[in-house]
Formats: sequence, structure tokens, C-alpha cells
Amino acid sequence: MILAQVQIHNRAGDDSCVADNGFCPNWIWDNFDRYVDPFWGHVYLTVVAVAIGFAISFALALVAYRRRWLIGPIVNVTAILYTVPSVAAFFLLLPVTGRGTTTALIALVAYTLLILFRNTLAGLDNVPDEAKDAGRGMGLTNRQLLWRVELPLAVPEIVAGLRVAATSTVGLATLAFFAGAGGLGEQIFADINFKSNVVTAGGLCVLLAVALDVGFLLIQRAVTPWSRA
Amino acid sequence: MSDFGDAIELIFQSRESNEGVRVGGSQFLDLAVDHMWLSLVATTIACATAIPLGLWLGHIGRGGFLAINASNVGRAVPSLALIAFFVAYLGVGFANVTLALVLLAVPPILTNAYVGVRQVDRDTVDAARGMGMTGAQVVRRVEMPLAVPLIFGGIRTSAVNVVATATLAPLAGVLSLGDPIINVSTYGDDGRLGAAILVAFLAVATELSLAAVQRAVTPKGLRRRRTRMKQFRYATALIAVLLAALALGACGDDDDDDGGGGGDTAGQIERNDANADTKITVGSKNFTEQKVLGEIYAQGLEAAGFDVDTEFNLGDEKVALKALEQGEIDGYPEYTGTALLSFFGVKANEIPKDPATAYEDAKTGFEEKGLVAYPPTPFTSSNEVGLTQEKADELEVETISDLEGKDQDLTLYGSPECRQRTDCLLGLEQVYGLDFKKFVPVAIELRHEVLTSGKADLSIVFTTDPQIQREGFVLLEDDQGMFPPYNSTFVVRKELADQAGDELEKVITLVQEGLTAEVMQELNARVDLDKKTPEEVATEYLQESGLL
Repeated sequence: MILAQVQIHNRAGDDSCVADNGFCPNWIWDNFDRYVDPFWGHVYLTVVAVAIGFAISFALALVAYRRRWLIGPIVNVTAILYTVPSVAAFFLLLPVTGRGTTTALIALVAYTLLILFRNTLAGLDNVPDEAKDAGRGMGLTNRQLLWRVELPLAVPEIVAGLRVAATSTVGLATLAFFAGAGGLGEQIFADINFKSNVVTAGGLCVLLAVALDVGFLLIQRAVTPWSRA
Repeated sequence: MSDFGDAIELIFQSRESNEGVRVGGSQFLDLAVDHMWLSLVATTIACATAIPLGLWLGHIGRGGFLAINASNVGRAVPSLALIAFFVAYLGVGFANVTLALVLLAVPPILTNAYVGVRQVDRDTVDAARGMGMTGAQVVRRVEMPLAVPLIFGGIRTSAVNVVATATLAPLAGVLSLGDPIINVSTYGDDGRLGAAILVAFLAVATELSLAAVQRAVTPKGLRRRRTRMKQFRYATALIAVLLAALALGACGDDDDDDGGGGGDTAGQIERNDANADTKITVGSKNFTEQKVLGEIYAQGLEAAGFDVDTEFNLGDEKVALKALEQGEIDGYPEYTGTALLSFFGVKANEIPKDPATAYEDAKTGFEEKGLVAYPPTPFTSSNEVGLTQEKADELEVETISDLEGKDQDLTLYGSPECRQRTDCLLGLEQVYGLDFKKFVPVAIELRHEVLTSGKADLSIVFTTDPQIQREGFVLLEDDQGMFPPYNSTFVVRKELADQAGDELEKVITLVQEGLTAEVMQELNARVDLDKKTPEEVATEYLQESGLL
């Protein structure tokens, strides 16, 4: 059976913006849809990783706040997790957890722990003694004191930690495609020489980082109305 | 466990890779030295610029906004995006990668140096002034020593970050320990894991040694006790984590599952509703030609009524094979030459030169793994000796044999492993008896650029590279048949082949029939040069061929 012929274009000396790997606004406008799914994939990786990381670190910080001897070991272990480069972490996990989102999330969560643990604990430690005394004077139990006085006053530092964790995770998630988890990094990697591609995918990463940063700041303002008094 | 064991063994003991290249052992040492040199240069330059600037801004008490926000902004720019930006705008090379890494390293150092100076007690500074110190003396003898712990904190953050990011340097054509991670096909799975272990080790070692230096340079009065104890615990924890990781490595997993059905069609692609019961996940490796091929098969099968899913970007052939064997995918396109080299342990110089024999050998190999390899594509995508039209006219050459007698004046560029490969420089020397003036190893991304810029007389390129047509390069005919055939064959799991019956083979044969080297080059060009997606290009191909 004979097939119809595929049209072969002559590209000799083609110096159009796209063929030259240039920065082409028209191309970006026409092809923006190919960045939409990777963008949401990136959002998913970042948000889930920070959420899980925060849940773990928050629990660890509450435990370590009362049992001070735990601080050293927790900081040491999370500091090592934080030091291991993410690309290496993805590949170290591959033989254990296989390719996919799970592997990427494990590594990304591991990175957030040190920052979130340290900040949560610092926030609790920096609550003024006067505030605690006042709470006790009002007859609060230890548990009530924690949830009604200490944690609310620690919010600014906890949120500062979340902001750092979220922006770093956006950056690290660009490497998650090495673990087969997609994200904007996959787009960057797909054509690293094409300026339009690099600027669009990289720009979306920066926008996401900034959006999360500002978002957390707004949340902080909303939940600490007294700080604006 | 064996995964980690093999990888660690490879770090200490080199062995011959499937492609006939020696990997591991001292090669890792060389890469580690390159890696650390790159990191050292970048961190040093960053320190030399950021520390004085931070100290000065802190001393005069201005520019706090800039200094403090530098690290916030720096954190928002992903390192991959930064490297990609440099590659796209400035091109590849050591200087560009270094500059990207410097930019990455400056913000934390700058911020910490500034904050370090600002947090020095103003009374202390006033006391120093009262003793008659000049501005410079205040900085050197009071502010800087007191800021040392914070400055070093910044340097540590940056240095560890730089060591981590230097892993991406091969993307910009600079060798580092990232090479085995990014170019897996040469080094294999063990090489990649070995490199990952080394990178992790270097980062932790950088952190620990800088922490030690920080302690040594911190003024005695500022040192805290317990530091030694902390170091000890740090090291203990490190060993514990490594042991835990190794212990976890002992686990593995496997699973398979499938649907059922079959049917038949004839002629162009015709929908057969009976196919809907058969679910096929089509995979591909992570470069243009593979993605286009994967899309062509996937869309063809879908048109025939199969229930098709895709899983592209599988990485190298080892990852793809593993995914296939574990049932993560049901089929993917593989090159006969690659399969023989990489899966079936055939040495590069022993691969049959005849495409049909190479396919039969690969097919037999796959059969033993419970896989079925369908007949291959018309095109082969192998190494080629490329040169510009002008050069070809000047030398009056058409075949590789024509180079004889002119070779002593010619410079050949090729990938670093080309030197050792029988389907590259070694073959040109042994089969054709050529002896070039110079062989220059170069990053694979630069294989066309070295020709257009005139650096290379000859460069090793691939048959289906779209740039060949665009730049008007000439490919010399391999008249002695030295380059092994790299036809693509669609490989599926046996269960699927049995279940789908003739139907599957019919569709596959039909869609790949038109894939000559010229057509494949055109399709690659539509992706790489016209920047269409592999999905669009596959649809165009099927439509233009009258299959859809």
C-alpha cells in the first residue's frame, strides 16, 4: 500500500523568530495552553508538599516545645535531609519508591521540614513571658495556653517559615520531572535552547513563587488582626 | 540493596558499559573534581563580590531593602530556570554556568553579610570609634569579626546550593557529576545512582567542613559551647540516615495487570469497537524523536479503537524497559542498535551491519524477556559524519573513504565518549584507517554549532537531526557500513501482543510505513525548529499520510 506523501518543508536558512529559538510573544500567546497542565501539576506538587511538610513539622515542633531534648536530634536529621541535593534525592529514592509523584513528594516534603520546624519552634519560643503569665493568671491550662496564646502569637514566624518553604519548593519542584512527576521543569527541560519556552515556563515558576509568598502574607494579616492595631 | 551495592561498587571500580565505554572508578573522581572546581570557582567569585558589598552597605547603613530582599528574590527563581535562561540567552560553556551559579550564590551571602554588620551592637561600634579607629578599621576589626558567624552561615547556604545546582551543569555543556544523571545511556542505572550518592555526599561534606571552618574563624568570645557535641551528633545522625536508606533499598516491587479483547480491520486505520476492551499504555523516552514516535503509535492505535493511554518522558532506555517489564507501560519504540548494545550485551563492534539481522537479533533478545518486537521502521537514526556544503565542495568528498589522505588536516568534533566508541572515532580509525589532526570532545548539544561556527571541519551528528537540512549540512556516506543500524521497533509485552492479536501489528506496520529518514527528519524539525508539540506533529503526519 502506498501512503500519501508527508510535506517536506525547506528550512534552509530559515531565520524566523521561532526557528532561531528566539523570544517570540506571538508564539507564546498561541501556545500558552501547553503550559497550563504543567503549571497546575507544579501547583499540586508545591501545595501538597508544603501541606504535608507543615503537618509533620508542626507536630514535631509541638512535641519538641515541651520535650526540649528532642530539638537537637530533630534539627540534625532534618538538616541532613535539607542538605542532600534534590536531584540526588530523587535518584536515591528511585530504587525504593519507583518513578512518580510519590517519590517527588517525599523528597520535596523532606526539604520543607527543617525550615518549618525551626520557624514554628522559634515562634513558640519567642512568645513573651508576660503574655504567658497573663494567660496563666486567667486560669488557662497548658493546652489552652498553647492554642489560645502561644500559637496565635507565633503565627508571624510560622508564616515566615511557610513563605520560605513555599518559594523554595516551587524551585525544587522544577526538578521533579527527574523523578517522573512532571511540572514546569519538564517544559523547561524539553527545549532549553528556546528562549520563548524558557522565559514562559521559568516566568510561571517565578509568578507561582511570588503568588504563594503574597498569599501567605495575606493569610497572616487575616489571622493576626491584633498586629495591625 | 543490590541497587545501592552495585552503584557504590561502581564508584570505586570502573567497568565496561554496554556501549563499550569504560565508566566508573577514576572517571567519577574526575567528574567529582570538575564538579567541586566549578562549585569552588562560583562560590569564591560570589564571596568576593557579595561580602564586601554586604559589609559596606551594612557599615553605611544603606541599601537594606536591596540586601534583604536579594535573597527573597533569589529564592523565587528556580535554579533550573536560571541555568535554562543562561543557556537560551548566552549559550553553553563554563563561563556561563559559572555566572549562573554566582548569581545563585550571591543573595544569601549578601543578605547575611548585611544583617551580620547591622546586628553588631551600636555601642560596640561607638566604643571602637571612641578609641580612634577609622571607618575601615571599624569594619575590619570590629564589624567584620562580629559578623563572621552570620557571613559564614550565608556562605554555607550558598556553597551547598551551588554544589547541588552544579549537578545541572551538563545541561549547559559543562561536565560535572550531573553527567551520569542526565546522560544515563552512557553510564547506566548504577552510574546514575552512584553519581547521586556522590553528589549527596559532597553536599553534606561541604556543609560539615564549612561548619568546621566557621567555628574556627568565629571569635572566641562568640563561640558557643556544645558545638563539638553537636558536630558529633550530626555525624552520627548522618550515618544513621545513610544506613536506613541502604536498608530501605532492600525492598522492591512488581505488578502486572491487563484487560481483554481483539478483532480485525483492513486497509487504512479503521475503527474496530472490539478493540475498546484492550487498554494500551504507550511509552516513550524523553527526547523529540521518541515522543513523536510514541504519539504516532498512540494516535494510530486510538484511531483503531484501542483504549490508549500515554506515558512519555520515561528517561533513558533502561527506565523505559523497566517500566515495560513492570507493566507501567505496555509498549514503546526502541532502536535496534540501542537494544542490542544496552539490553543484550552486544559490543558495539559486534552489532550486525545489516538492519534486518540487527532486528532479528533484537527480537530474539526481547522474546527471552517475554516481549514482542514488531518489524522496524524504514528509517535508521545512527551516527553520521557531517560537514558544511562548502567544506564538502572544497575537499571534494562524498563518502567517508574519500577522506583518506585529507584526514591529517581535519579536526573532528564528537561527544566525549566518541573517542572510545567503535561506532564513532575508534571505528573511523580502525575501519577506515583515518587519523585526524585533532579530535575535540564537545557537549552533544553543540554538534551542529561547531560546524556553522567553523570550529570543526567534521562533526558527528545523527541521521534524523532536523538541523542538517536547515543548515544545509552534508552527511558522508558510510561506504564501509561501519555505523550500526538504529531502526526503531515497537516493543510490547507478550500478554498484550497475544490479546490484541493481528490487529495491533497491522496498525503498527501501517503507521510506521511512511517513516523514512527524510520524513523523520521533517517531523523532528516540526518539533525542534517549528516548536510544535509532538502530539500536533504526529496528528499532522497521520493526516498527511492519509491514515486518519
